[in-house]
Amino acid sequence: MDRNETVKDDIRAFWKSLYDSLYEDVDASLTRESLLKSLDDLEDMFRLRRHMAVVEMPLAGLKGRRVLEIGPGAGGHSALFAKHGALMTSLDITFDRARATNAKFRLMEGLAAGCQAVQGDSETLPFADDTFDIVYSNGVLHHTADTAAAVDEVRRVLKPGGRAVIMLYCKDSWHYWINMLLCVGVLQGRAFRDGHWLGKATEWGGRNRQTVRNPITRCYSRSGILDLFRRFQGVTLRKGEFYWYLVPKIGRLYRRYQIRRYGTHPGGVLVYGEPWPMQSPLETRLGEIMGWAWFISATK
Amino acid sequence: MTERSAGIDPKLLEILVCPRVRTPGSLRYDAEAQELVSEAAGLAYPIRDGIPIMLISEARPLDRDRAKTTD
Repeated sequence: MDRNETVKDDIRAFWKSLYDSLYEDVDASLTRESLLKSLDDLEDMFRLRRHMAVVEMPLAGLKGRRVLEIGPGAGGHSALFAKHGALMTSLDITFDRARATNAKFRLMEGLAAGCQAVQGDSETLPFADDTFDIVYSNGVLHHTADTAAAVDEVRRVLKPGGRAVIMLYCKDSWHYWINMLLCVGVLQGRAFRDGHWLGKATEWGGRNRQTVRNPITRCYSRSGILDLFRRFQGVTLRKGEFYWYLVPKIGRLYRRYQIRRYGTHPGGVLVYGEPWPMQSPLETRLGEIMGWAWFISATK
Repeated sequence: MTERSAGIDPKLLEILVCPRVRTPGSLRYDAEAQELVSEAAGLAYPIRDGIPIMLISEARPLDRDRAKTTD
Protein backbone atom coordinates (compact mmCIF):
# COMPACT_ATOMS: atom_id res chain seq x y z
CA MET A 1 0.00 0.00 0.00
CA ASP A 2 1.47 3.38 -0.91
CA ARG A 3 1.90 6.25 1.52
CA ASN A 4 -1.04 8.19 0.12
CA GLU A 5 -3.37 5.25 0.79
CA THR A 6 -2.04 4.91 4.34
CA VAL A 7 -2.85 8.57 5.00
CA LYS A 8 -6.34 8.11 3.52
CA ASP A 9 -6.87 5.08 5.78
CA ASP A 10 -5.88 7.17 8.81
CA ILE A 11 -8.23 9.94 7.71
CA ARG A 12 -11.11 7.46 7.34
CA ALA A 13 -10.36 5.87 10.72
CA PHE A 14 -10.43 9.22 12.52
CA TRP A 15 -13.59 10.57 10.92
CA LYS A 16 -15.41 7.24 11.38
CA SER A 17 -14.49 7.27 15.05
CA LEU A 18 -15.67 10.90 15.41
CA TYR A 19 -18.90 9.99 13.62
CA ASP A 20 -19.57 7.28 16.21
CA SER A 21 -18.82 9.72 19.04
CA LEU A 22 -20.99 12.58 17.77
CA TYR A 23 -23.85 11.28 15.71
CA GLU A 24 -24.54 7.60 16.12
CA ASP A 25 -27.17 8.08 18.84
CA VAL A 26 -28.85 11.03 17.14
CA ASP A 27 -29.07 9.23 13.80
CA ALA A 28 -30.44 6.03 15.33
CA SER A 29 -33.50 7.81 16.73
CA LEU A 30 -34.40 10.02 13.73
CA THR A 31 -37.81 9.79 12.12
CA ARG A 32 -39.06 11.70 9.10
CA GLU A 33 -40.93 14.13 11.36
CA SER A 34 -38.04 14.70 13.77
CA LEU A 35 -35.62 15.15 10.87
CA LEU A 36 -37.78 17.79 9.18
CA LYS A 37 -38.17 19.63 12.51
CA SER A 38 -34.39 19.43 13.07
CA LEU A 39 -33.76 20.87 9.61
CA ASP A 40 -35.91 23.91 10.46
CA ASP A 41 -33.89 24.33 13.66
CA LEU A 42 -30.64 23.94 11.73
CA GLU A 43 -31.56 26.65 9.24
CA ASP A 44 -32.60 28.97 12.08
CA MET A 45 -29.26 28.39 13.85
CA PHE A 46 -27.32 29.07 10.65
CA ARG A 47 -29.18 32.37 10.23
CA LEU A 48 -28.29 33.44 13.78
CA ARG A 49 -24.61 32.69 13.05
CA ARG A 50 -24.59 34.14 9.53
CA HIS A 51 -23.19 30.78 8.43
CA MET A 52 -22.31 30.27 4.75
CA ALA A 53 -25.00 27.54 4.53
CA VAL A 54 -27.56 30.36 4.47
CA VAL A 55 -25.47 33.41 3.42
CA GLU A 56 -23.26 32.23 0.53
CA MET A 57 -25.64 29.38 -0.36
CA PRO A 58 -28.63 30.78 -2.29
CA LEU A 59 -31.27 28.68 -0.46
CA ALA A 60 -34.19 30.34 -2.27
CA GLY A 61 -32.60 29.57 -5.64
CA LEU A 62 -31.63 25.92 -5.07
CA LYS A 63 -34.72 24.35 -6.63
CA GLY A 64 -33.65 22.03 -9.45
CA ARG A 65 -29.96 22.91 -9.06
CA ARG A 66 -27.42 20.12 -9.14
CA VAL A 67 -25.35 20.50 -5.96
CA LEU A 68 -22.37 18.48 -4.76
CA GLU A 69 -21.46 18.50 -1.08
CA ILE A 70 -17.98 17.21 -0.27
CA GLY A 71 -17.74 15.88 3.28
CA PRO A 72 -21.38 15.98 4.40
CA GLY A 73 -20.61 14.95 7.99
CA ALA A 74 -23.78 13.15 9.00
CA GLY A 75 -25.77 14.79 6.21
CA GLY A 76 -27.41 17.75 7.97
CA HIS A 77 -26.35 20.39 5.45
CA SER A 78 -27.10 18.15 2.45
CA ALA A 79 -30.56 17.34 3.82
CA LEU A 80 -31.24 21.07 4.34
CA PHE A 81 -30.31 21.85 0.72
CA ALA A 82 -32.41 18.91 -0.49
CA LYS A 83 -35.37 20.30 1.46
CA HIS A 84 -34.90 23.55 -0.47
CA GLY A 85 -35.16 21.62 -3.72
CA ALA A 86 -31.49 21.01 -4.59
CA LEU A 87 -30.66 17.79 -6.41
CA MET A 88 -27.96 16.69 -3.98
CA THR A 89 -24.99 14.44 -4.53
CA SER A 90 -23.01 14.04 -1.32
CA LEU A 91 -19.53 12.56 -1.32
CA ASP A 92 -17.65 11.43 1.76
CA ILE A 93 -14.42 9.46 2.08
CA THR A 94 -15.88 7.69 5.16
CA PHE A 95 -18.51 5.05 4.44
CA ASP A 96 -20.55 5.56 7.62
CA ARG A 97 -20.92 9.26 6.88
CA ALA A 98 -22.06 8.61 3.31
CA ARG A 99 -24.52 6.04 4.66
CA ALA A 100 -25.83 8.42 7.35
CA THR A 101 -26.37 11.09 4.69
CA ASN A 102 -28.16 8.66 2.40
CA ALA A 103 -30.36 7.51 5.29
CA LYS A 104 -31.50 11.13 5.80
CA PHE A 105 -32.33 11.47 2.10
CA ARG A 106 -34.42 8.29 2.22
CA LEU A 107 -36.23 9.45 5.40
CA MET A 108 -37.18 12.61 3.49
CA GLU A 109 -38.75 10.46 0.74
CA GLY A 110 -40.05 12.62 -2.14
CA LEU A 111 -38.47 15.77 -0.68
CA ALA A 112 -35.04 14.32 -1.52
CA ALA A 113 -35.97 12.42 -4.69
CA GLY A 114 -32.88 11.81 -6.81
CA CYS A 115 -30.51 12.78 -3.97
CA GLN A 116 -27.74 10.29 -3.35
CA ALA A 117 -24.61 9.84 -1.24
CA VAL A 118 -21.43 8.34 -2.66
CA GLN A 119 -18.19 7.24 -1.01
CA GLY A 120 -15.23 8.84 -2.72
CA ASP A 121 -12.08 10.94 -2.46
CA SER A 122 -12.13 14.72 -2.93
CA GLU A 123 -8.77 14.56 -4.72
CA THR A 124 -10.12 12.24 -7.45
CA LEU A 125 -13.81 13.09 -7.73
CA PRO A 126 -15.83 10.40 -9.52
CA PHE A 127 -17.82 12.93 -11.57
CA ALA A 128 -17.61 14.16 -15.13
CA ASP A 129 -16.30 17.65 -15.93
CA ASP A 130 -18.84 20.53 -15.87
CA THR A 131 -21.46 18.62 -13.85
CA PHE A 132 -22.58 20.76 -10.90
CA ASP A 133 -24.15 24.20 -10.47
CA ILE A 134 -22.74 24.47 -6.94
CA VAL A 135 -20.06 22.62 -5.00
CA TYR A 136 -20.40 23.10 -1.24
CA SER A 137 -17.92 21.97 1.38
CA ASN A 138 -17.92 23.04 5.02
CA GLY A 139 -14.61 22.64 6.81
CA VAL A 140 -13.45 19.51 5.02
CA LEU A 141 -10.80 20.10 2.37
CA HIS A 142 -8.18 21.27 4.89
CA HIS A 143 -8.23 17.71 6.30
CA THR A 144 -7.19 15.94 3.09
CA ALA A 145 -3.63 15.13 2.00
CA ASP A 146 -3.55 17.50 -0.97
CA THR A 147 -5.95 20.42 -0.45
CA ALA A 148 -4.85 22.18 -3.66
CA ALA A 149 -5.66 19.07 -5.71
CA ALA A 150 -9.11 18.91 -4.09
CA VAL A 151 -9.82 22.58 -4.89
CA ASP A 152 -8.78 21.95 -8.52
CA GLU A 153 -11.19 19.01 -8.61
CA VAL A 154 -13.99 21.25 -7.31
CA ARG A 155 -13.33 23.58 -10.27
CA ARG A 156 -13.21 20.71 -12.76
CA VAL A 157 -16.65 19.32 -11.83
CA LEU A 158 -18.33 22.75 -11.70
CA LYS A 159 -20.23 23.91 -14.77
CA PRO A 160 -18.80 27.09 -16.31
CA GLY A 161 -20.34 29.88 -14.25
CA GLY A 162 -20.97 27.44 -11.40
CA ARG A 163 -20.13 28.42 -7.84
CA ALA A 164 -17.89 26.94 -5.16
CA VAL A 165 -19.09 27.66 -1.60
CA ILE A 166 -16.37 26.48 0.72
CA MET A 167 -15.24 26.90 4.31
CA LEU A 168 -11.58 26.47 5.17
CA TYR A 169 -9.88 27.28 8.46
CA CYS A 170 -8.43 30.74 8.87
CA LYS A 171 -4.88 31.28 10.05
CA ASP A 172 -5.43 35.02 10.61
CA SER A 173 -7.56 34.17 13.62
CA TRP A 174 -7.62 34.25 17.41
CA HIS A 175 -8.16 30.49 17.47
CA TYR A 176 -4.99 29.76 15.53
CA TRP A 177 -2.60 32.27 17.11
CA ILE A 178 -3.84 32.30 20.71
CA ASN A 179 -5.77 29.09 21.43
CA MET A 180 -3.72 26.81 19.23
CA LEU A 181 -0.21 28.15 18.57
CA LEU A 182 0.36 30.00 21.86
CA CYS A 183 -1.55 27.80 24.33
CA VAL A 184 -1.20 24.33 22.79
CA GLY A 185 1.79 24.70 20.48
CA VAL A 186 4.14 26.80 22.62
CA LEU A 187 2.99 26.74 26.27
CA GLN A 188 2.17 23.01 26.20
CA GLY A 189 5.18 22.51 23.93
CA ARG A 190 3.38 20.33 21.40
CA ALA A 191 4.53 22.27 18.32
CA PHE A 192 8.13 21.37 19.19
CA ARG A 193 7.44 17.65 19.58
CA ASP A 194 5.04 16.79 16.79
CA GLY A 195 4.57 18.01 13.22
CA HIS A 196 0.90 16.98 13.39
CA TRP A 197 0.16 18.90 16.59
CA LEU A 198 -2.59 21.05 15.04
CA GLY A 199 -4.49 18.01 13.80
CA LYS A 200 -4.25 16.37 17.19
CA ALA A 201 -5.46 19.52 18.97
CA THR A 202 -8.54 20.08 16.80
CA GLU A 203 -11.86 18.47 15.95
CA TRP A 204 -12.62 15.90 18.65
CA GLY A 205 -15.98 16.03 20.44
CA GLY A 206 -18.96 13.99 21.52
CA ARG A 207 -19.49 11.30 24.09
CA ASN A 208 -16.54 8.97 23.47
CA ARG A 209 -12.90 9.34 24.51
CA GLN A 210 -10.58 10.08 21.61
CA THR A 211 -8.53 7.01 20.68
CA VAL A 212 -7.67 7.78 17.04
CA ARG A 213 -5.63 10.79 16.00
CA ASN A 214 -6.73 13.33 13.39
CA PRO A 215 -3.98 13.11 10.75
CA ILE A 216 -4.36 16.52 9.08
CA THR A 217 -5.70 19.99 9.87
CA ARG A 218 -4.45 23.01 7.94
CA CYS A 219 -5.35 26.67 8.11
CA TYR A 220 -4.84 29.44 5.58
CA SER A 221 -3.99 33.12 5.47
CA ARG A 222 -5.95 35.35 3.08
CA SER A 223 -3.16 35.11 0.49
CA GLY A 224 -3.10 31.33 0.91
CA ILE A 225 -6.83 31.16 0.07
CA LEU A 226 -6.44 33.47 -2.92
CA ASP A 227 -3.62 31.25 -4.18
CA LEU A 228 -5.71 28.06 -3.79
CA PHE A 229 -8.58 29.66 -5.73
CA ARG A 230 -6.46 31.52 -8.30
CA ARG A 231 -8.08 29.72 -11.23
CA PHE A 232 -11.56 30.83 -10.13
CA GLN A 233 -13.19 34.20 -10.77
CA GLY A 234 -14.98 36.56 -8.41
CA VAL A 235 -13.46 35.10 -5.26
CA THR A 236 -14.97 36.61 -2.12
CA LEU A 237 -14.10 35.66 1.44
CA ARG A 238 -15.16 36.69 4.89
CA LYS A 239 -14.39 35.49 8.38
CA GLY A 240 -16.77 34.00 10.94
CA GLU A 241 -16.99 31.78 14.02
CA PHE A 242 -15.44 32.96 17.27
CA TYR A 243 -16.05 31.17 20.58
CA TRP A 244 -14.49 31.99 23.95
CA TYR A 245 -15.13 28.40 25.02
CA LEU A 246 -12.42 27.23 22.63
CA VAL A 247 -9.75 28.83 24.81
CA PRO A 248 -7.94 25.84 26.31
CA LYS A 249 -8.69 25.05 30.00
CA ILE A 250 -10.65 28.19 31.01
CA GLY A 251 -12.94 27.88 27.99
CA ARG A 252 -14.80 25.08 29.71
CA LEU A 253 -15.78 27.37 32.59
CA TYR A 254 -16.87 30.07 30.15
CA ARG A 255 -19.02 27.55 28.29
CA ARG A 256 -21.00 26.81 31.45
CA TYR A 257 -21.58 30.54 32.01
CA GLN A 258 -22.45 31.04 28.33
CA ILE A 259 -25.10 28.32 28.38
CA ARG A 260 -26.67 29.82 31.54
CA ARG A 261 -26.52 33.37 30.17
CA TYR A 262 -27.53 32.84 26.53
CA GLY A 263 -29.03 29.33 26.44
CA THR A 264 -28.67 26.66 23.77
CA HIS A 265 -30.18 26.25 20.32
CA PRO A 266 -31.56 22.89 19.10
CA GLY A 267 -30.11 23.55 15.62
CA GLY A 268 -26.81 22.03 16.73
CA VAL A 269 -28.16 18.49 17.13
CA LEU A 270 -27.94 17.39 13.49
CA VAL A 271 -24.46 18.81 12.90
CA TYR A 272 -22.74 18.52 16.30
CA GLY A 273 -24.80 15.81 17.97
CA GLU A 274 -25.89 18.26 20.69
CA PRO A 275 -27.58 21.66 21.05
CA TRP A 276 -25.44 24.64 20.07
CA PRO A 277 -24.45 27.02 22.90
CA MET A 278 -25.70 30.42 21.74
CA GLN A 279 -23.01 32.95 20.87
CA SER A 280 -22.85 36.29 22.62
CA PRO A 281 -23.25 39.36 20.37
CA LEU A 282 -19.58 40.19 21.08
CA GLU A 283 -18.48 36.77 19.80
CA THR A 284 -20.46 37.28 16.60
CA ARG A 285 -18.64 40.60 16.04
CA LEU A 286 -15.24 39.13 16.91
CA GLY A 287 -15.89 36.30 14.45
CA GLU A 288 -16.02 38.83 11.61
CA ILE A 289 -12.62 40.20 12.63
CA MET A 290 -10.69 37.17 13.86
CA GLY A 291 -12.89 34.10 13.30
CA TRP A 292 -11.59 30.57 12.68
CA ALA A 293 -13.55 30.11 9.44
CA TRP A 294 -13.03 31.56 5.98
CA PHE A 295 -16.37 31.52 4.18
CA ILE A 296 -15.35 31.46 0.53
CA SER A 297 -17.41 31.93 -2.59
CA ALA A 298 -15.83 31.59 -6.04
CA THR A 299 -17.06 31.20 -9.62
CA LYS A 300 -15.72 28.95 -12.37
CA MET B 1 -34.04 -3.05 3.46
CA THR B 2 -35.14 -2.32 -0.07
CA GLU B 3 -32.18 -0.11 -0.93
CA ARG B 4 -30.06 -2.94 -2.26
CA SER B 5 -32.68 -3.95 -4.80
CA ALA B 6 -33.62 -0.36 -5.60
CA GLY B 7 -30.48 -0.09 -7.71
CA ILE B 8 -28.82 3.04 -8.90
CA ASP B 9 -30.70 6.14 -9.98
CA PRO B 10 -30.12 6.56 -13.75
CA LYS B 11 -29.59 10.28 -13.13
CA LEU B 12 -26.68 9.45 -10.81
CA LEU B 13 -25.23 7.07 -13.36
CA GLU B 14 -25.23 9.94 -15.88
CA ILE B 15 -22.81 12.00 -13.79
CA LEU B 16 -20.69 9.28 -12.13
CA VAL B 17 -17.38 8.43 -13.79
CA CYS B 18 -14.58 6.05 -12.98
CA PRO B 19 -12.16 8.12 -10.85
CA ARG B 20 -9.22 6.62 -12.69
CA VAL B 21 -10.20 7.34 -16.31
CA ARG B 22 -12.79 10.08 -15.64
CA THR B 23 -14.53 9.80 -18.99
CA PRO B 24 -18.31 10.17 -19.12
CA GLY B 25 -20.08 6.89 -19.73
CA SER B 26 -17.11 4.95 -18.38
CA LEU B 27 -19.26 3.00 -15.91
CA ARG B 28 -21.65 0.14 -16.58
CA TYR B 29 -24.11 -0.82 -13.83
CA ASP B 30 -24.11 -4.54 -13.09
CA ALA B 31 -27.34 -5.00 -11.10
CA GLU B 32 -26.71 -8.64 -10.28
CA ALA B 33 -23.20 -8.15 -8.89
CA GLN B 34 -24.12 -4.72 -7.44
CA GLU B 35 -21.07 -3.17 -9.06
CA LEU B 36 -20.20 -0.27 -11.31
CA VAL B 37 -17.82 -1.63 -13.89
CA SER B 38 -15.13 0.44 -15.60
CA GLU B 39 -13.83 -1.61 -18.52
CA ALA B 40 -11.35 1.13 -19.41
CA ALA B 41 -9.69 0.99 -15.97
CA GLY B 42 -10.24 -2.76 -15.49
CA LEU B 43 -11.98 -2.09 -12.16
CA ALA B 44 -15.36 -2.84 -10.61
CA TYR B 45 -16.61 -0.48 -7.90
CA PRO B 46 -18.88 -2.12 -5.33
CA ILE B 47 -22.26 -0.75 -4.22
CA ARG B 48 -22.94 -1.33 -0.52
CA ASP B 49 -26.23 -0.44 1.19
CA GLY B 50 -27.10 1.58 -1.91
CA ILE B 51 -23.85 3.61 -1.70
CA PRO B 52 -21.47 3.44 -4.68
CA ILE B 53 -17.93 3.05 -3.33
CA MET B 54 -15.98 5.13 -5.84
CA LEU B 55 -12.54 4.50 -4.34
CA ILE B 56 -9.82 2.96 -6.51
CA SER B 57 -8.42 1.26 -3.41
CA GLU B 58 -11.75 -0.51 -2.79
CA ALA B 59 -12.38 -1.53 -6.40
CA ARG B 60 -12.12 -5.14 -7.58
CA PRO B 61 -9.68 -5.72 -10.45
CA LEU B 62 -11.60 -7.22 -13.36
CA ASP B 63 -10.83 -10.76 -14.37
CA ARG B 64 -8.50 -10.33 -17.33
CA ASP B 65 -7.94 -14.06 -17.93
CA ARG B 66 -9.97 -14.08 -21.11
CA ALA B 67 -8.02 -11.11 -22.42
CA LYS B 68 -4.75 -12.77 -21.54
CA THR B 69 -5.49 -15.92 -23.56
CA THR B 70 -5.47 -13.81 -26.70
CA ASP B 71 -2.15 -12.14 -25.80
